[in-house]
Formats: sequence, C-alpha cells, structure tokens
Amino acid sequence: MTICKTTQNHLGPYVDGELSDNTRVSIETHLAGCPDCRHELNALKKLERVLYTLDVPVLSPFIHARIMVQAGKQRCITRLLPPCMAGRMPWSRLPMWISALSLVWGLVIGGVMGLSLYVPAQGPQPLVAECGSPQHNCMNEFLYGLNHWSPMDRGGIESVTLAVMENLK
Amino acid sequence: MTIKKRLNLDGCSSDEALILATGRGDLQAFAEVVRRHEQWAWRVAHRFLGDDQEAADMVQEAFLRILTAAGRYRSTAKFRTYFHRVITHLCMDRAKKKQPLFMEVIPEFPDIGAGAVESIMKEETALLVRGALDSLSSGQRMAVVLRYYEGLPYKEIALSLDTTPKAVERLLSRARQHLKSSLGKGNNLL
Repeated sequence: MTICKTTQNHLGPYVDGELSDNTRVSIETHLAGCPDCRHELNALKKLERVLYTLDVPVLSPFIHARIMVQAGKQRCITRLLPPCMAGRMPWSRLPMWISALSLVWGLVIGGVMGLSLYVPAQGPQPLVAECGSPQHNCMNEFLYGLNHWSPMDRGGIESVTLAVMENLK
Repeated sequence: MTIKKRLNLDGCSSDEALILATGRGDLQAFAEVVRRHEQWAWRVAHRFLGDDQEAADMVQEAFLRILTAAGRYRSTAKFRTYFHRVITHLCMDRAKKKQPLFMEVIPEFPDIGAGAVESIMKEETALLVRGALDSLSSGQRMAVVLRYYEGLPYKEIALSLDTTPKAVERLLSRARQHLKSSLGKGNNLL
C-alpha cells in the first residue's frame, strides 16, 4: 500500500516526463503488476485529453496593430523626457518618489533642528568678571548706581551685592 | 531594407539582439519581437483568463512593459524566460483583482448537419473545462496552462512563477486532484 502511495505521487511527473531514469524504471515495474496504479495513470492521461478540448480563438491582427500604435505613442512620450529619465522612471512610481523625497527632507530638517539643541549657538559670550578685577569693581559701581536711582527702598541691591561678594570671598 | 540587414545579423536575429535594438529606439525591431511572441502570449493569457478582451489587454500590457524596460535590458538571461515571467505575472495579478462575474452562457444555435452532435458535446466539455480551470487558484491554473497547453518543463515553469521545480510539482499535483474531482464526479468526463 505504501508502494502504491509513493507510486501515485510520482505518476504526475511520470506522465510529464520529469522523472529520473531510475525512478521511471521502478515506476514502470510497479505499474506492470498493479491494476490500481494503472487505473490512476489512465485517469491522468484522460484528464490530459479532456483539457485539450479547450480551444483558443485565433489572434486578431488588430491586436498587433493596437500594440504598435501604443508603442509609437509611448516612444513619443519617452523622447520628450530627459535621457536620464527615459524608460527608467514610469509615471506610476512618481507618488512613491515624492513620498520618499519628502521623508528624506523631513529627516534632514529634523536632524538639523535636533542637533542645534546640543550645540551652543555662536554668539557674544557672557561677561565673566573675576573677583577683585577692574570689571568686577565696575559692575559693583553700576549696581550701586542702579540702587541710587531706583525708586525702591535703598539697601536692596546693595545688601544682596555685598552678600554675594562675601560669599565669593 | 529588411530588419535582418539593418541589424547586421546573420541568419535569424536573436530575440536578445532585437530587444537591444528596441532599447536603442528601433520600433521595427520591437514589431518583430511582437510578431514572434504574440501568439504564445495570446494563448497563455486566453487560456488563463478565459476572456478575449482581457487576454488582448494583457498581451498589449506585456509588450508595452517590455518596450518600457528595453533600454535596461541586459542579455544575461534568455529573453523568452523573461517574457514568460512578465506575461504570467501580469495574468496572475489580473486574476487576483478580477471579480468573478457569473452569467448564463447562451449557446449558439447548433448547426444541423454532419458532426453537429459531436460539436455540441465538444463545446459543452470545453465549458466544463473552463469552469474547472477557473475554480483553481491562480498559481495552480498558470502551472496547468504552462504544463498542459504549452508543454513547458517544470524548470521553466518554476522560472516563470518565481518558484522551485519541486513547488511546481506540488502545484500540479493539487491542480490535478482538483480537476479530477470537479470534472469526474458530476460530469463523468473522466
């Protein structure tokens, strides 16, 4: 029974002539003594004959003419394109290319903006005054001046400045 | 001047040479390619799709795609294999998108004469075969068309379907089982 199952699996390729010589010989040996497998083989051959009843109508000569007319039109369109695009980029793929370019452009802009958060901007550096330097004294005088002219109660900025200077010391 | 003289090729121009000439803009070379392969494409498309108009559209679409890609063609593979792949993929894509349209087929008035009965029986058998083929999956149907009607070996069918010869064997085996049950049980054709 196992031999019959194996043989029947090989019957299709056997009819199609796709088996190696050794397998074909063993199948033929089995077929000579097995009526079930011979029946299966006959069914396959009959199926082939039945399938051949499906005819195809004759190809109309107008189809050839239609193809050549369309080919002529296509060739005219191709000539209008630059040589690098002629025959290389079908117009049906244009939306795909636009999407891809938009994506790349978005990534570039996003990358530049993200990078600018980490790299300090190139501008005027903040004024750093060492304690006791002329710049430091100048800043103190400026703060005293502000305090003098301010309408607020005296002693606010002055006391804060002195406290800062004390801490620095 | 004949196309063979223009292409400066001896004997018969190969398909590959014609396609290379087509890529350089020679429409007469393309016409020769169409003339050589249109019958094959028509038979495959018609047996696969079962409709004149759709088959004609597929044949036209296949050749126009060949024309579009002719500029990029490199003769590393046989043109015939390449063309088989184009037409089989187009037909299978079409079959996937196609909505089944069920309609009553009205038989033509039979010719009362010698062999009329045989003719009617043959037409009825062909209709049953058409229905059985349409009930197969697109891969099985294309494998059957290429194997039974075009006589291609498993290796070439595998190249056309982008698969292996072993997979083609399995496709054909399942298709035969399906065809035997649909044509044999109720219709007594087998």
